[in-house]
Amino acid sequence: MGKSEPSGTFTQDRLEGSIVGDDIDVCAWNFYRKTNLRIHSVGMNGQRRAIQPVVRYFIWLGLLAFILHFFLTTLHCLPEGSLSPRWRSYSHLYSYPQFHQGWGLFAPQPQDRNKRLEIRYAKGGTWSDWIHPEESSFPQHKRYRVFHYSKLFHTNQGVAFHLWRSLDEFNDKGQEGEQFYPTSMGYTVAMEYAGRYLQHFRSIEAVDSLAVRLFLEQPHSDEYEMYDFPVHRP
Amino acid sequence: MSPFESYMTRPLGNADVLKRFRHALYAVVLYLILILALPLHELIWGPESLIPQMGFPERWTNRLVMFLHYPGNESWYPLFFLLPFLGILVHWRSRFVRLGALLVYVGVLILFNRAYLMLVGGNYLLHLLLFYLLFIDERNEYEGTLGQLSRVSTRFGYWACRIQVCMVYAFSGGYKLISDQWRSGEAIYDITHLEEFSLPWFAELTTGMHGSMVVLNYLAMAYFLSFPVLVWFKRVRLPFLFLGEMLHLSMGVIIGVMDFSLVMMASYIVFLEQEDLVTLRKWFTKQRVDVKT
Repeated sequence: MGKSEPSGTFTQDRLEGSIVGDDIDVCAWNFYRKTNLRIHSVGMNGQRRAIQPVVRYFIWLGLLAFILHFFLTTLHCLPEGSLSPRWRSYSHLYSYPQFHQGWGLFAPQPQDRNKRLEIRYAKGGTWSDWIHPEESSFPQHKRYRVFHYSKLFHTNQGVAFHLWRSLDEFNDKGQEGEQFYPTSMGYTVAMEYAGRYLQHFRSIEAVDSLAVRLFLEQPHSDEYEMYDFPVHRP
Repeated sequence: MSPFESYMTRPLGNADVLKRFRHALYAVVLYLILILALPLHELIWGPESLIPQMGFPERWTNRLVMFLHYPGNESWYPLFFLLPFLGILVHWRSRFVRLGALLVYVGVLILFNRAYLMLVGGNYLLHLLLFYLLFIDERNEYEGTLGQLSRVSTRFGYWACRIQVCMVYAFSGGYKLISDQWRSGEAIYDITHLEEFSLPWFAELTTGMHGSMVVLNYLAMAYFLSFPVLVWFKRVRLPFLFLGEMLHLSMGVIIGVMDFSLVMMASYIVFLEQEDLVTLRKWFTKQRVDVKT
């Protein structure tokens, strides 16, 4: 049978094989689609085809699950404060951790300052100089941004970002730094990161103390703010 | 059989599109694992990882999804590294499409949830799309009741992928509307001039082009907000998606988050219809002929 004579024997496989980019295939596709509608909604003898009860239950229960999933996902994505705590807890309970989608990650409020983390350590009673962990990964990120260097750099920046958030939380709470920071995620992450960074990139282990500081700089400007954080003893 | 039941049990007309969609997502998974993560695997997942483990409330979902966060489980990471490859192999060499999808999903989800400091929005979208792929079997090889069940499941998975991508645009567009930086037109200029997201020559080039960046800002907002509506119109769908592909490709190169861009670009395939593939094939064939002549 030639391609110009599409008939009722078209199958999905043949259709896929037939898309080669000429007009005949568009006709074949339209024909298939129409035929397909007929074949699957009406039986061979013209009677409407019955479906098994199990399929019917599956369809309607599936639809219910589908609607519920997107309903709870929608609630989860709504801005903080737009839901009652009860609904917020339902949506979070459902979405975390496997369906989490923080669309805040799509740059709704882009950062307006460069952030830079520096670390230093004390060993044998003396403090090291400040170390900038992005010293090598930043130029590499600039040159090879579609490779793994960018991930190393973004990991550094992720740590600085969490520390910055801890700083904001600290400013809101008004607690003592020594009390607040050891319980905050950003500070804990930064300290663990600092220890591991020294171990992997400077071959320095078993330090007595660690310290980090955060620089927030205006792009294209010499203005910056610097924040010191309490010393951590591993 | 009601029209809805008839629709749900019917084979998908654009199975070829779904095949390409799956291949594109798996290609992104391979890029994430082989190019972005493999050279850093010890630093990301090893026992002395740069990324600290986190604690989670005791729930079975956390136990499973955050498996590598639990002390003592670190040494299992090579298994999850291999699972996506095994899944792709199962998909390629057997008829168990959903089993392959499950292996890819579990591997990627557990592996990348451990690497939370390096994740971008695209990773979360990828996890969700891989989850919806569990329901899809575009090959439609089963007969009888099993075949009907399989087709119903495929329909749900297919629509979930489409709705999910629209949700991403609707919410991120909506969030941009309530953001001062986006409303004032400064967002793109600010982002592209941050060290983390700037490309040096692009930042230099655009320093004196503030007005153009403001226009680009509003165009990006318009694209995000109109996506969930315009993508359903047959006449504008292809050029509209092509514009989006270009937008995300340039974002990937300029802002330096290629993984995010690739996931977004791959997700567009699910909106194509079979006739769009024919149109694209015709267009590419024509370009090839033109180039040859």
